[in-house]
Amino acid sequence: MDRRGQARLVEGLAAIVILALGAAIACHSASYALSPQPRPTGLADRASSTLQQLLRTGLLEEAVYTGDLQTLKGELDGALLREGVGYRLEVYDSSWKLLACLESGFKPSAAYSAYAVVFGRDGSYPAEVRVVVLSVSG
Amino acid sequence: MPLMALIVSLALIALASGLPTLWRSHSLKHQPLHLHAGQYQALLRNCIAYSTQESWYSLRGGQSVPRVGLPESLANDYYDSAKQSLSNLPAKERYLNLTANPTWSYSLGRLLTERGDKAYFEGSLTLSPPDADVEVEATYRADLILIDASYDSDAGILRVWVRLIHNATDGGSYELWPIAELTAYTRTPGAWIEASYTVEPGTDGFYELAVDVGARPRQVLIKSVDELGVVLWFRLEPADWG
Repeated sequence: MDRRGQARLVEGLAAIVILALGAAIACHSASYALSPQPRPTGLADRASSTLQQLLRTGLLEEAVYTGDLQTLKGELDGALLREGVGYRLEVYDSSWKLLACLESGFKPSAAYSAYAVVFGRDGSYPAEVRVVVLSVSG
Repeated sequence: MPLMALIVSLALIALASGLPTLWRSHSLKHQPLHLHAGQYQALLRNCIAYSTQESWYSLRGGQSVPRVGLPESLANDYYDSAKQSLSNLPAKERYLNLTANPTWSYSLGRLLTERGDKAYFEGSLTLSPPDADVEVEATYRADLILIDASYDSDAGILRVWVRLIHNATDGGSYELWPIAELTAYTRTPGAWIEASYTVEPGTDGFYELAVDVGARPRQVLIKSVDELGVVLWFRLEPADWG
């Protein structure tokens, strides 16, 4: 093999190493989305049912409009974290500015989300829209 | 060749990094109907709370019943302000559809004469979520029910048993018994004045009141203000419950 042939071989090997590294990183990044295991669709239900429960009792509006999301921590820990489900709750205003956030044990790479639009608390007038996004991860 | 491999690898990594975000975005756009209904029910509850509060404050002198049409007008005012507020969100991110008009029914300040009669406020709404071809019917109702009453003319005490229930139906039905503060008033020629009374809270929304109305009792008004902001009230004639 001449020098040119050796150079091609080294280049080829380097390309294979780079591609292998890239594929490994990509697989790691998308480990959840590319997982051959069945997706935990229960997580999506968990996000929406937890949010709905907070809406029903008025606790969600109470926390959002007082700005004290810590009041939801006990409820979210009991409903989610105790069963190994991490969460992140975000509150946005109408211009999608993040106003507040509460997070515990959350893994962004494996998340399902549910949202709720709320308008006020205890009939406070005028209505001020807030979007609450609850993301959960297994 | 290594340069090409590097470019392909970076593209792969970028694509893979975006997949969780795509999943999250997908799950955000497809919400279950019960959660849609829950948001409408919470909005109706706010409309009812605002309307009943303002209806109570609108009473003058010895009035007990708000002006005809005022409660639904106030509830619609709140709904309109919610629509206005929602319109501040970018169109494609308005996850709720508030195009329909709610309907309201209520009984506030009426003289109750039978057990099981009630003061109430109900709102109903039928809408289609923006990303679904089905209709969501949401109803929210608050009831202050007269369970029983009894007037002891010797002691001059009117005992009243009531139950406060919030009820949401369709697309996820549920019942709540919010904690309430109850107040008893007696009528004087020009005003309702707070009576001397005690309240015993029970469980599941039950309350017992003992109102000192004297030996020649006037009408009594029972008002409930609950922790979700809803105000309900009715009147009783002690002599009817002797």
